[in-house]
Amino acid sequence: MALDQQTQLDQLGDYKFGFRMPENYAFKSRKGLDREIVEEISYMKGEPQWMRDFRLRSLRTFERRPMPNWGANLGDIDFQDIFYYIKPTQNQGKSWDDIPEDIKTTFDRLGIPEAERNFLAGVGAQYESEVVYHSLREDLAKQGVIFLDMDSGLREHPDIVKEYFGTVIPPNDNKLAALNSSVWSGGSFVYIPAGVHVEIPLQAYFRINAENAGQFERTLIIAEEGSYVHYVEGCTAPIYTTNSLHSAVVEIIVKRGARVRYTTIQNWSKNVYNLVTKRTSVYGEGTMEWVDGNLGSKVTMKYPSCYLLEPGAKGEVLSVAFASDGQHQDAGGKIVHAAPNTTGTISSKSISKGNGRTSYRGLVKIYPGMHGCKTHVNCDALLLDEESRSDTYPYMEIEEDDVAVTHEATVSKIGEDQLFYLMSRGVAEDEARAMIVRGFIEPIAKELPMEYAIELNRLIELEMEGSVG
Amino acid sequence: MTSGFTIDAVRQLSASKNEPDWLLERRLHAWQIFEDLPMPTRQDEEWRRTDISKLRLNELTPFAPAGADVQSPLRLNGSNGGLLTQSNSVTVEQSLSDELAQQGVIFTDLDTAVREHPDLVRQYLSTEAIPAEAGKFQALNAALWSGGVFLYVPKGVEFEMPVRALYGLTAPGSSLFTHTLVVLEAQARASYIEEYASEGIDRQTLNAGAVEVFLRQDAHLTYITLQEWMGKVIDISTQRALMDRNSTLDWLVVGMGEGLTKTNIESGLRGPGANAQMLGILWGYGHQQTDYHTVQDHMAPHTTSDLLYKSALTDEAKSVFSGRIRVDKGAQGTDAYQANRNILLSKKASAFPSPNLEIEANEVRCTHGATVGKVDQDQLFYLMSRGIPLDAATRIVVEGFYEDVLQREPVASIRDNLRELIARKLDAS
Repeated sequence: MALDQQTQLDQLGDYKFGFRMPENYAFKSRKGLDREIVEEISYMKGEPQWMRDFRLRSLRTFERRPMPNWGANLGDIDFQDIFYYIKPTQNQGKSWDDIPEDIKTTFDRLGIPEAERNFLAGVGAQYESEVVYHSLREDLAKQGVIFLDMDSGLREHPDIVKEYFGTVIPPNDNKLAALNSSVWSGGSFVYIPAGVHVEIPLQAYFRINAENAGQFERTLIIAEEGSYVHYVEGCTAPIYTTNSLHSAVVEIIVKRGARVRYTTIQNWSKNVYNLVTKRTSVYGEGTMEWVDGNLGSKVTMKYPSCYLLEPGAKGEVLSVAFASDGQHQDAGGKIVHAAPNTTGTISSKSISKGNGRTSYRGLVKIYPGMHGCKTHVNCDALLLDEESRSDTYPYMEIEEDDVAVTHEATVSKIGEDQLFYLMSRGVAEDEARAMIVRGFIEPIAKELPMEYAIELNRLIELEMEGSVG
Repeated sequence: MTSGFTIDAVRQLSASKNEPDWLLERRLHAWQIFEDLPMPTRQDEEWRRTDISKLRLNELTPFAPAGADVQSPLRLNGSNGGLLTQSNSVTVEQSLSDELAQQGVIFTDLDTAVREHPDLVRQYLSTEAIPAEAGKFQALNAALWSGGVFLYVPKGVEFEMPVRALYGLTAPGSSLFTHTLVVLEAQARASYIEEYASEGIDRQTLNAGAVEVFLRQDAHLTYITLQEWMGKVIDISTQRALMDRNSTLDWLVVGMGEGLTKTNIESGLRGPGANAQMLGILWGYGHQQTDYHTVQDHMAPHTTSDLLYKSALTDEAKSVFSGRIRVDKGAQGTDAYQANRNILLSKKASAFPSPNLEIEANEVRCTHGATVGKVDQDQLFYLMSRGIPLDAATRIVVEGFYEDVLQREPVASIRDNLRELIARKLDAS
């Protein structure tokens, strides 16, 4: 590793996964975004005409739509200073042995093979812009479960992809969804047949490596009637000196009686703009649960949404955000009641440390005639330092009288009495603070798979180190 | 006066009142800001739910002479401690009890105050509380206000009996720029009731109002502001109180009008120990649209604020509530509470509450809550099981819904007037 780079890393602090492998790319497009780049991406992937057209239409939408100005400060993003497509190796690895050594080393440090050895169902690891390694346990395949990277999904199951792709989040939804729709690469394609319960979580790690590499993965999950799946997405990225952009689109379809849980613990390095659109269409008696943890990135704007489209549909968003120095976590959730007798819950816990800023931003919408709907929103924020900032921006649009909508939010600091109690029992102050913070997020941590709950706790401990001023 | 707003209208207005140069300059400065700022559109976050694209400023006259009397919505009679009545752009009546006058209390229209107390007006008018820079309509008000109210209570003077003002509007197609300036010096204590009412407004008419309140150390103001614009009145107003150390504000806002209302109501707690209670009673009916934007701005440590706004909505009424608790850096020890409760009485009524928190200090306790739902079914069932028909039962529940706000209103003598007003409005729909 070059000396100047090492120096930069040292200056940037002790980020846990802040290492970097030398770049070794099969193909690297030039920086910037225009029609030619989009056509090149589509050509390199050998895509069908309809996808190429979809990308080009989306590009025009991207160019037309204004930058969102209502949330975090996005002024530093230069869309022309980003690589939109990088293909790491020529062929997709079939087994672990085929994976190049340097990529393996990176994965080792993220603990993937270990996790796989234990109980992972499948691993779709995104190294740069394309999935290089993918495995799926055989019994899942036998049940008809499809778990592929999105590019392979498009090649192998073009009919399913064409039917659902871009239907939950149309490209004109917002500027960044349009950007993703025009340059997407990688991500996961998951199909669960009717009645199938996937007992173990499906996991994928996404990673950014090259400097200025935009990461535009696209995930599509279809849960047929009465099925169940828990999908886990985790993100880590090495530290770099210029701003990186991550802009994903995740579309989920939960059919009648199905249940999907989608868990993210986002830990991008603190120079990444993480601007993600996630949405689910939930049909009759179906249940969608978003568990969304935001710890990393410079700026995150992410509001997982549930569109409740038929009676009995349920949507739930659990959101945890931790912002320390230089970070702005603008996260939350949306519940849209587009059918009668649907229910929603949003629970948000956010913690601001140093000069970090957390913002809860959410929407509860009930359309006219959607009687019997219930939604409860609960936001709690903890401020650890004098410079910390916390905002709450809940929006409610209620156009029906026969409903029950409640919202409550509280912002406070660590209670002196709690601290005093713990310290009187001999717990050191920094450990006591960490314990209180862990207790604060406990209601959400307990919803995570065990290894993620442990990782979340470890990450928070790491963030809390030296927090006693 | 011809319709439309021009710089000549500003000069003409100022000249007709023989105003001093500093005031003309202040009006012209505000006019410049009005001209420079774009008209708000639904692209602006603050205006995203209120569409004023149908507002035809160039068809409105900027000044209207006095017209017929307008009845007090609260049916208040007599002058109380003092009374000021403005009809359209002109003050038609003002009085102040001898007792208050002898203690140095000033209660007069702003035009008179400019002549008789220029230093005071110059210090406070359109400066710290609502400068012209605050926005397009704030600038328009600062350029074109006429009549207005000036209430000044000297240091240590206390009175219980409220003084009151009535802004009446009877000139369709005009625009009104009401401007109230209230200054309470240290340890002063006062009660003030302000009503806005209109009659016979059959075409688009605007009020771009401003209320500026200054509370010095340990001052205590009880303030009721009530609006019942009937007819096609668009109201775009800002009311802002700046509160010094240990001052107290009890502020009740009553919205009973039927037009389009976009009101900013802000408490700026800039001295340690300041305490604001902000209450709201809102009734929505017909095609009414209200957009209340409240701010509890904690700029100093150990300040407290408590807001409760309740609205009941029927017909096709639409209520937007955007409430913000702001805690500035260094405002440690802030205790802020905010609650917005909405009940929807018809299928087509809608509520858009958005209670916001912006917190930059850590030793704080800030809580907010918002609810939307229909009339409490248990209460309704109970009443109906006692033989009360649905309509009457609903009405009792709605009156009860407002009652806990009324109970917190410190001017006890006014509660019955408010109950009667609510009953009259419920009867009408």
